[in-house]
Amino acid sequence: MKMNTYLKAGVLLLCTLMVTACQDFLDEDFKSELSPTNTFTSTYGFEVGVSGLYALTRSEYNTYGEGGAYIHNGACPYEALQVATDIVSLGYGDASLTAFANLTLTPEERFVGTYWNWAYSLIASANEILLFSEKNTNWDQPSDKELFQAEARFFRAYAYRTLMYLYGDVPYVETILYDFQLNFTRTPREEVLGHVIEDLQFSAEHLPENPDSEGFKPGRLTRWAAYHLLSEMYLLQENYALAGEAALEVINSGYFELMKTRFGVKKDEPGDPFSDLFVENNQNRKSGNRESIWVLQFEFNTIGGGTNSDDWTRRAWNPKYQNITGFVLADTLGGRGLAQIVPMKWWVGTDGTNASGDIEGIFDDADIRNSNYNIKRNWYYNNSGEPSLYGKKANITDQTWLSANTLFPALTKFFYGREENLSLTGSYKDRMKFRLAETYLLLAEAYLGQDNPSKAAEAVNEVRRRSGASVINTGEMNMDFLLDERIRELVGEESRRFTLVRTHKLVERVKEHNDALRDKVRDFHALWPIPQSIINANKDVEFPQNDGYGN
Amino acid sequence: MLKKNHVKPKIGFMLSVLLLLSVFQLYGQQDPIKITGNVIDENGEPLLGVNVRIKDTNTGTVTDFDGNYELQAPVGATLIFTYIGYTPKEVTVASSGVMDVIMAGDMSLEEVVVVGYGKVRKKDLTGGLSVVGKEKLNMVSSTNLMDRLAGQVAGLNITTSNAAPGQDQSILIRGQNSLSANNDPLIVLDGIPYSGSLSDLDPNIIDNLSVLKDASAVAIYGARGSNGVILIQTKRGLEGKPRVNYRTQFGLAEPMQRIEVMGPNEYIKLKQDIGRLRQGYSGDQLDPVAGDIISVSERENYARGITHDWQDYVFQTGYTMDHQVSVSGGTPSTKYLAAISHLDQDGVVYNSKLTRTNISTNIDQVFNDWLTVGIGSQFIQKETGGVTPNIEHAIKQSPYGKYKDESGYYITEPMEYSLITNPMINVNADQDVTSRNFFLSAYANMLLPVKGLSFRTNYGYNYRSGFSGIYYGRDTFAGREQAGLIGGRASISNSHYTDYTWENLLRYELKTDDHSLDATGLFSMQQTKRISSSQSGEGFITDDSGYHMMDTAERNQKISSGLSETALLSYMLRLNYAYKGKYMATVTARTDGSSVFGENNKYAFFPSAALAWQIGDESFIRDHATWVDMLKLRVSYGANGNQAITAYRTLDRLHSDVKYIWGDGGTAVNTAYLAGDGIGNPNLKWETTYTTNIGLDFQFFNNRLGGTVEMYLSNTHDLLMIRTVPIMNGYSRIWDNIGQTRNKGIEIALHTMNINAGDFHWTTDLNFSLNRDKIVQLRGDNTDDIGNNWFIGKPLRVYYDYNMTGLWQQGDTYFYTDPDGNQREIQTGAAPGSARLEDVDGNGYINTDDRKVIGSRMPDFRMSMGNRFSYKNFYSSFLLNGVFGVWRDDHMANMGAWTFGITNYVHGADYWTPENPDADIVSPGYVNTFGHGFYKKVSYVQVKNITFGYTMGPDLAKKLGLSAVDVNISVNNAHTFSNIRQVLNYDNSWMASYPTARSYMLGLNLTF
Repeated sequence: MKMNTYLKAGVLLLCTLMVTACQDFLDEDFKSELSPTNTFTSTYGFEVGVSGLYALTRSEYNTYGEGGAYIHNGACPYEALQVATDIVSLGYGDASLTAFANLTLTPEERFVGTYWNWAYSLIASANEILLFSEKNTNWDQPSDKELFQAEARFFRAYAYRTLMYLYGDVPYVETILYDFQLNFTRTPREEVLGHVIEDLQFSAEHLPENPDSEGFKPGRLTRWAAYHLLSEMYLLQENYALAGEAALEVINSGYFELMKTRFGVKKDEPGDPFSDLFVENNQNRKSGNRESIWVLQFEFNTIGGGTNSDDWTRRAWNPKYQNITGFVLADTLGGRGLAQIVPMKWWVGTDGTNASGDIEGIFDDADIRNSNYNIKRNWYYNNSGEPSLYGKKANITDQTWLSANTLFPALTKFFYGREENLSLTGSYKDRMKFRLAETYLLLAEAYLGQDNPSKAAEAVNEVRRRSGASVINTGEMNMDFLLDERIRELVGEESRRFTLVRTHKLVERVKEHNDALRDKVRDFHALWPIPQSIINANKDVEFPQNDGYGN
Repeated sequence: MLKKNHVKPKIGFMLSVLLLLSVFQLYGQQDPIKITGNVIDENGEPLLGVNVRIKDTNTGTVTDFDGNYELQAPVGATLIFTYIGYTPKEVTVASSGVMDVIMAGDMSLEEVVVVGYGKVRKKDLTGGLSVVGKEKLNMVSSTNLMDRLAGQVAGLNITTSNAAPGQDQSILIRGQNSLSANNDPLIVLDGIPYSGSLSDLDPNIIDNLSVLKDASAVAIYGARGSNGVILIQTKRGLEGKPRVNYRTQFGLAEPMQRIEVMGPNEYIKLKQDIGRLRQGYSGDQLDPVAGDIISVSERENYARGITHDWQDYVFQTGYTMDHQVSVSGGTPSTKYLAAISHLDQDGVVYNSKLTRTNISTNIDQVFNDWLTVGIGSQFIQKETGGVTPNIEHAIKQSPYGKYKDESGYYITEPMEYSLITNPMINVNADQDVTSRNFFLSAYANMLLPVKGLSFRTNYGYNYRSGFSGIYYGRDTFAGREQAGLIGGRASISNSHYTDYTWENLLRYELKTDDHSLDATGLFSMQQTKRISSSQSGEGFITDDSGYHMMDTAERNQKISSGLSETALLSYMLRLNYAYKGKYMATVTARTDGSSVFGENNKYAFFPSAALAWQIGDESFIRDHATWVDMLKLRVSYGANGNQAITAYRTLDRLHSDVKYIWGDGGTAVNTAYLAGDGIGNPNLKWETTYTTNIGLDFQFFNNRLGGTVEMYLSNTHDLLMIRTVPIMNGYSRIWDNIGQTRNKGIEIALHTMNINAGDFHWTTDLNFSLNRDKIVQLRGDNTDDIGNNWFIGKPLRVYYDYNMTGLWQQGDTYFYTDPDGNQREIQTGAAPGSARLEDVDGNGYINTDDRKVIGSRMPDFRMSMGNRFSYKNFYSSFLLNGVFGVWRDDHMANMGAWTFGITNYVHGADYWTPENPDADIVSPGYVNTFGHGFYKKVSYVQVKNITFGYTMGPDLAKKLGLSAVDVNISVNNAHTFSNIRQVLNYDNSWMASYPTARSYMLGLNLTF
């Protein structure tokens, strides 16, 4: 009897414990991370979300990962889009770059995978915003929904642009697949491009119009950025009339003009309007720059700005002058360069150097884009510890240019040095993704596509006039001239690979200008291989590799 | 109910009266006489502190240092002798009054071992379990508990991947079952699950340790035990007069070995080879001064003949000082122990150190005949910290690099290479890392007024706090003045972890002549909570304030905080049954619920069963094979779960670490985006391991040879793994229950008494373990998962890559012509001196199909051997621990990754040049187009410890006023024999890891 009592009491106690404890004892209370369900519930939440899209976009320039960006993990991602074209040859090189420069690409090459992942990460985050914007009802203004959708769709289009240029046909997805698929197929590029154009049309309609309006945030997208990209995408579609119209939307918007006078923080120092464009802090409109359409923000030493792992373009493009006895690192010489790539003689010319070939290059004498403020050919020994050399001119020779990579004509647009820290790796200059000069060149490309060289020449001349270059006539205007003009104006800013692929000129121009690859380049090199990791992960269906790569 | 309750006190009172009467009756039988005697062990050594008690009374005493005792007891009464680690002995008092006793030692089967939720005679064990007693624990003189266990238990594999003082080792019991979830065993400290660091514990406070390996033994721990269980018992007070023990160790340590790097001349030769073979330099360009093969800084030192051995700067001789004082004692009803220890240890790397203070106390109180209560606590304070130099940068640095400038500051880039900076650039920073750990375990044991029924409740609480503060002053690279911005950089972080475990057990025991039954029911709940916060900033007014004025940071102020909570709920029922002490069975059923799983999958059921048969007790053995002292066969089968994923993996998450900025001079704004692993899987559930175990325990030849052989097979289903999916889904990684793995293996543990002749004894312990793991299935579609390096039928952790078979040479055929007459390179980019890759598919050229499984990252087998010798008062021991046949990255062969074409390299490296075509290593000019690695199968045997000691005889000790004195000297990690050389720690495949320390220790142990 007694035993029963105790047992009962004990059992009762345990049962009470279990029942009361178990109801919600095992529930998870999620407080330490954001989730879409607690973030995308207000206008501010979506504001945070689209800011994330800018941050993700900027991470394209991140090399070794910092501040949560671990996309590339290699030194020269952006140069992989410049080599194996007609503008640069491999300099001192970097293991991350050599396969791209030598056309020995395999599907496992690092940046082949990282660009794919970067683009689809951006697409996924844009898709998630689009998905939740349809569910949310709590908006500050009814128009907020379209505004955020317009921003998200711009970035989705921007990411597919990279994918189409680099890989051709890629799977088109416009949502998050919560039940994951392993059977993706490659959507024909034309179809992807159709979606991209729809996205950009939507963005052009719904993004803000006035970049100078009260409260508009510098660096934020406007409908003009969408039109600029739309123009380029119509060119890719070979829909030249619409490409021209889109470009004209930007040009005639009234918000932008080519910078023809000195401006910005160094306007009273020696220089010219073209060099002013690339002075630190001269990219956003508040500096007086009315040419920039969309600027990625890399502010120095500020949370939210750039990091030491962001944008190593300067290291890639600058000569290693510091390796020469008689030189020491200096901010005025552009900071520290590693010369992973060097400009080709055919366009930059050998004038003003002791290098062989007596090559004139593609610049007029009067073209300010070729001035010593923009392409540095005069180098003077600066190490006061070497009195026999100090102050004397150091000549550029074939040896310094092509084999030691210590001195060659250098693009000052990528100079970045800080006196106090000359080995700084990152370049903290804001980066103009789109500027009006390019819009004119897109317009010219559109007119060429419509067999209207005279209008094309007119558009190109707008750009040339600003630089003091001679005006060209209809007879001189053709695609090769336009591609040369893009070098003069945009070298290093544009992705040369994208431009040559869009204009179907890659193989031809490489054969013509790239000594190292002349006999090596084939038609299939217009595309990169599909990353092996994607082929492996897509287990249920074979994911065809691009021609020429392995199989 | 009420009425019935009132009955209880009356009956209790009556029982007490009866009990008292019976005691009086007992005493009434005869008058006590004086009993004297001496207690010795099997070797004739007197035993100090043996408890001697008159059965059924509280009267007793303990033996003195000569093993002598005396007490009053009536003739015919029974004396019970108990001594930890020895078989209790009962003798009847003879009328002579002289009662000398010999007690049998460790190997006795009567020994009671701790199993989960209870104790059991070793003889009655049904599950697989290894006990590590004091003798093994004290064999190695390291101050880290895990160091002392390495190589001591078959199937318990301890890997010291970070050899810095105070760091945790990784422990694996019987290999890995889980592909990506946690494989750590459950640690149970004084009966309570312990998730803290084992390196926190003072090894000298551990009394014994049991390793539970098979499904049945761990079954009662259910989900938490699927990777095995380690039960740790700390020392408790013993009945007897207070004993004071003082123990001290002094030691010094140095790296067991250094990387042998190239000296100055060899280095210049390498740079010239790199210059000509990689850069295409010739003539003057190859000149160290006029050319371009070394940096301008190196040229200066070269011209002046200044060289540095960078490893001299980063390594140091470390001193260790360790003290422990303990007081223990007790009466039959109250036992207590208190100990305090303090350790000061320098690491062998500049600036590394450990200071640890441990305070342990415990008390066990018998209140009356039905209630016993005990409580124990551990408090640990541990301080590490100090910014250590970058060892890789020291190894790879040029001998001609510049070390310091004229003012004595470290040169940032000695060889002007930003990826290999001066190893010392940040060593002037102040770093303090303090962790505190409070652990409490309490129990109450109640005998319920039903014969055989008892209730026990256990409560455990653990609080751990961690603090880390670091300040980089202006005299460090990270904190220097730069870009016109004031210097100084500081960060602090705090973490607080709490958990509690509450267990309630109801136990019923029934014993008849032939049958014994024991049933245990359990309900337990556990909660963990971790909160953390950190802050950092840059630009401080003065270096004097260190990290103590975070508010004065001028820029880049960052703050963050976090929270993680988990909960676990379990029910368990266990039945033990034995028939005639020869046939035993255990059946366990357990249900676990965990918060980390999806709503519908929180609970899972895990059953197990085990059988044991004392064959040695059967007459056909007993009568015919008298050399068999014991022979037992055990068989078990059961399921266990693994919940080891972190919280919130079933939920969608956004990445929010990054900020963005709008315009120049703007302020940072929040961002959020979907990370590659941001989508949760709401269907996650327990992964389950089913294990079959067959074990044979034996003692032969008068206990001269004893041991255990275990064989096991475990299948793990519903593996929890991060699965790589095409990123087009919106994410590239997601947790999922997929696949199946299998582990099988053999463990052999042998103990032999080789020589047992008078004053000289020699015993040997041999452990052998072999484990084979493989992936049986992935997602049920019979295809490999190359993206994750998972291959069906292959081991869990493999290298999958191109296989290097040799080197390309001048004159080789580099082109392949296909049947259509098209030519292509056999191996894209290959040149003389390149690695020649194996054409696995035989199609004539190298492409991605030519990758293959190179080998497993887990060893073929492990073997260890411990030997102990004693001669009179002298003793000696040594322990060898071997790991055989493990595939590793061969960093030395990977010249490109090692040198980047710029840095120093290994002395005597046999690399390819046109003049040295028969080399082993690729040419300095090799461009690794396929991005492949280099691999080698490695074996190594470590001499873990050699000890010589002297125990002073009791007579001599007494003259010094002490009970016992022990002095010993030892060396840890004396040497490692291996087929590789250029590593600092053989347990870590990275060549520049924190070096294994060779330490020389002097130990002294005094008992008052």
